[in-house]
Amino acid sequence: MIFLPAAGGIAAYLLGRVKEEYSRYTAIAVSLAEVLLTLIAFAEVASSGIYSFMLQEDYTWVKGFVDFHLGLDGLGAPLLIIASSLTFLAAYGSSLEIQERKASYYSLLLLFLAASVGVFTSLNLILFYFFWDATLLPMFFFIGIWGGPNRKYAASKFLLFTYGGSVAMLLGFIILYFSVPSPSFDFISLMNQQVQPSIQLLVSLLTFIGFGVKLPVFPIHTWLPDAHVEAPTPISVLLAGLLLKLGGYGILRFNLQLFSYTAIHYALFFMAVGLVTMFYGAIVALRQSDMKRMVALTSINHMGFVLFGAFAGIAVAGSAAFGIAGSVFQMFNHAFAIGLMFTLTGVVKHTFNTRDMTVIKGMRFAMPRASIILILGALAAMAAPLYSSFLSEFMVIYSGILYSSWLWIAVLVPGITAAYMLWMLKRMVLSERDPALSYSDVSRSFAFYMFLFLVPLVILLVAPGLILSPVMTFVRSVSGGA
Amino acid sequence: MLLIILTLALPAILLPLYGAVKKENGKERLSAYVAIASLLIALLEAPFELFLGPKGIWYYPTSLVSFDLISFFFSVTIIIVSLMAAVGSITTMQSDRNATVYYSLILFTVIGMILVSSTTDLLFLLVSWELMTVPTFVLVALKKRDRLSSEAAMKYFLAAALSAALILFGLSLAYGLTDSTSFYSLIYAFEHSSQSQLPAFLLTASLLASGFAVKMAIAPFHFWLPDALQGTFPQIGALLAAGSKKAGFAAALRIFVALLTTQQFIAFGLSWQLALGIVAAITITWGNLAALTQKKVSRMLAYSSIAQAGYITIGLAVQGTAGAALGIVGLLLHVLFHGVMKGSAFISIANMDDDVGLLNGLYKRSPGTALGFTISLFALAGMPPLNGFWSKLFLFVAAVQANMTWLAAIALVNSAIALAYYSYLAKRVYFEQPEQQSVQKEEKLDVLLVLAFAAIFIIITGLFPAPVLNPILSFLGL
Repeated sequence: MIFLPAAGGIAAYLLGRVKEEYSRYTAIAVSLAEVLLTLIAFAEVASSGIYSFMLQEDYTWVKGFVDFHLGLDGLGAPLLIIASSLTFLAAYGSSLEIQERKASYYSLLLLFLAASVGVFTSLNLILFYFFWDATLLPMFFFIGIWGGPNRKYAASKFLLFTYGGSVAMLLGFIILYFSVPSPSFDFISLMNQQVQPSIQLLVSLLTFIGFGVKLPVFPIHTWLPDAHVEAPTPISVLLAGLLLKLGGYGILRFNLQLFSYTAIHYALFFMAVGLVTMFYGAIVALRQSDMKRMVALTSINHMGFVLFGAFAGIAVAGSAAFGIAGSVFQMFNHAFAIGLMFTLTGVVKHTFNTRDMTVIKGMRFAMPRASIILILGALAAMAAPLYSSFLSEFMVIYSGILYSSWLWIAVLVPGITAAYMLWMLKRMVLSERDPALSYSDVSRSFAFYMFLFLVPLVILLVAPGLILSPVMTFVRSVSGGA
Repeated sequence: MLLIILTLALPAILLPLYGAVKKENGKERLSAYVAIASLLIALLEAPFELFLGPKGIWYYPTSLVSFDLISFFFSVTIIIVSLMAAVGSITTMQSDRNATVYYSLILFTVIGMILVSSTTDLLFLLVSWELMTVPTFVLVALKKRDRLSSEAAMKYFLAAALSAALILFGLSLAYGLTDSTSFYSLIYAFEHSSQSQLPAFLLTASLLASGFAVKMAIAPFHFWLPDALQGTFPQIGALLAAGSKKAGFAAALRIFVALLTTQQFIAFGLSWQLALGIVAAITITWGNLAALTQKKVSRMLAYSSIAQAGYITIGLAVQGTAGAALGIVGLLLHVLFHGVMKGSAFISIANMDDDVGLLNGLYKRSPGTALGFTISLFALAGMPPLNGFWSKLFLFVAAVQANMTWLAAIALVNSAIALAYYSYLAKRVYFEQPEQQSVQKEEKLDVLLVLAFAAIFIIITGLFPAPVLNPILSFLGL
């Protein structure tokens, strides 16, 4: 599963040297094959019904030290689907913006997918770190080469922030290695060993720095708006949809599952960080005039839910089914909703040559198809009950209220989100006709492409069990059967 | 041992003679090929020497040299780096009158380095040390009409003379104390010394240590390196930064680890691990912070190699503690990996401008050089999936195991600082648009060949470190 995109990445580059378009076809084909593979793997995990690491593969990598140990559980499986399907959507949607050096672009795209799949499946801490950092370099080049006017600054800031977080995480891993009775980097072996609470707290904090930079949490989020705004549209989709999920996955896998003692006893700290992040993202988004910056801040706001829900879920007995499951679900929904919003931002920029929401007027006259999709997408982003994103935000907030009743204030966050999303629609779509604009809608096939983002969200509103049933096995194992 | 030396010494002696006799053109290329061929043969001979020689890491026979795992690793590193330098200078040297001497000197300094890394006798160490150093004076000064080159050679000469003098002084003291010059008798005498002799032994050890440290360019003995590397050919820069600096570590590893872990020394109660750890931390931080502000690629890489020497010092600092074995693994790995990546980073300067500002948009002018250079940079930063990650990982793990978590933390923070200037260079190469004044430089094929080899080596050992690691692990009994 990792091998396929990695080999595909090299093939895409070589074919791209022959003819530029070939690399795009390779990327689409390989990522589509990867979607099928991940769906099969997901089905296997989902049908087992019990919590365990499925499809394990274990090879000796460095003798007695680091094993090439892979496996998949109810947490990794849904995220794997995000990884493959978003890469597919991004590869498909790249033709509009990526005009130069296509061979390198599509091969980096597939290498990025390979590294992300590696992160979601590694069961060895060093292997995890290896893949984790391997995602950084493609992203650095994506933003730096194909990005907007301020791309150099954004790329460097992204690289240094996230790498700074990674080294803290690596230090945490090494300390952990020596503080368990039988030193090991293997995840399953570490799960079965006791660590002193104080050391667990230290390690948990160190790794939280690493994951928190990626999630991102306030106040180490400042790289994100820059990176998102400067990145080309398909890469913004991947950044928000996939890269942030790596952080969320890390927090659930390590801070919640592995360091469960710390998670239970210091849940309030993590929840507070999550709540601040939620409000920060929402309030700052309210006063943006750049549409892409607003969408980027919406991501921060939504990822705050992930953090908040996960730790609210573990802190109160019986609420795990809402909190933790809700936060995994939220990651899944956010990936598609925000991916669509970024794609639409790209369309807007392409058509109007600006993303300033105060300037663009009367979109419904100039681009009726895109306007409809924009309205539908905005509804998804603000968690209207038309989509599964409503369910996940509801689950997270409900578990927060179970923890403490004054946490009802979290409800304000979707309120604010709805406010700025609707305001955006009012300004851009439902405003008067701008006589300077001529009819320039997106093509029918591109509208269909954008519609694909919404399909999972609608299906999952009706049948959330599709995703939630394997997630629940993870939830039960973390919260001790509650 | 003798076989490798002979393979290298014969062409080293014959090449200048040939150059003196033969007058017409063509001798430059031929001498390059001869030097490369002999280095390749020596590389192939090294594993045989290892398996014929004594097993284990520490071995102090009464003979002058011993080809054990340490000498094997250092020799292979040195031969690979000098191969890269020799191949990378075919085009640069093809119209130089001194080409035959140039290659002969490279071979001589390689012999010196191999002997330094395998000698077990102090007097022989001094002789090999000079054999290693004296040819490099000439190599650094080869561009004799260039003022920077002469200045570099002068500074380098003074620093090296200081280092040799310190070693010689330490050697005389050691002979006075033990009536012998072999490492073995020095360590034996130390173990059985009386309390009153201890200060003299300590003085000997610190004189030797300072002598080696000048060569290793560890703070505060590092000042000569950036100037020397800026003034010379990039290929010679590679040889100095990636090769001969390492020889100091081989000597230090061989003498000090045994000396400082003797019962006598432990009873003396000096926490030399802590001292070395602090030296390592200062060296890493100093090198990285200084590199941040450099305007020349060669100077930036020189400071970065000071920082890398600090990383290698971690491997020395954990000796005599729980992290000793992993420290050796990390040290040997980092010596080899760093040799290749620093060598290729330096040699790529031959294909571009040394000025950081003129790197802008390099990928458009010279795509191959840009790619090779960038891969070496990220390997130096220790980014997975490149090989620098593994060697640094072992050093960090060793530091934590030795209960020096603070050292691992400082080293890790420094990795992030170092990434700032490596990614700054990569940013210039790939993201910036080329400026008008930057001259079109043709990509030299031989340099590209070296870069391609290094890039493949870096990626393959990054993905599959086991083939390099397993021999070390099995020798250590891990």
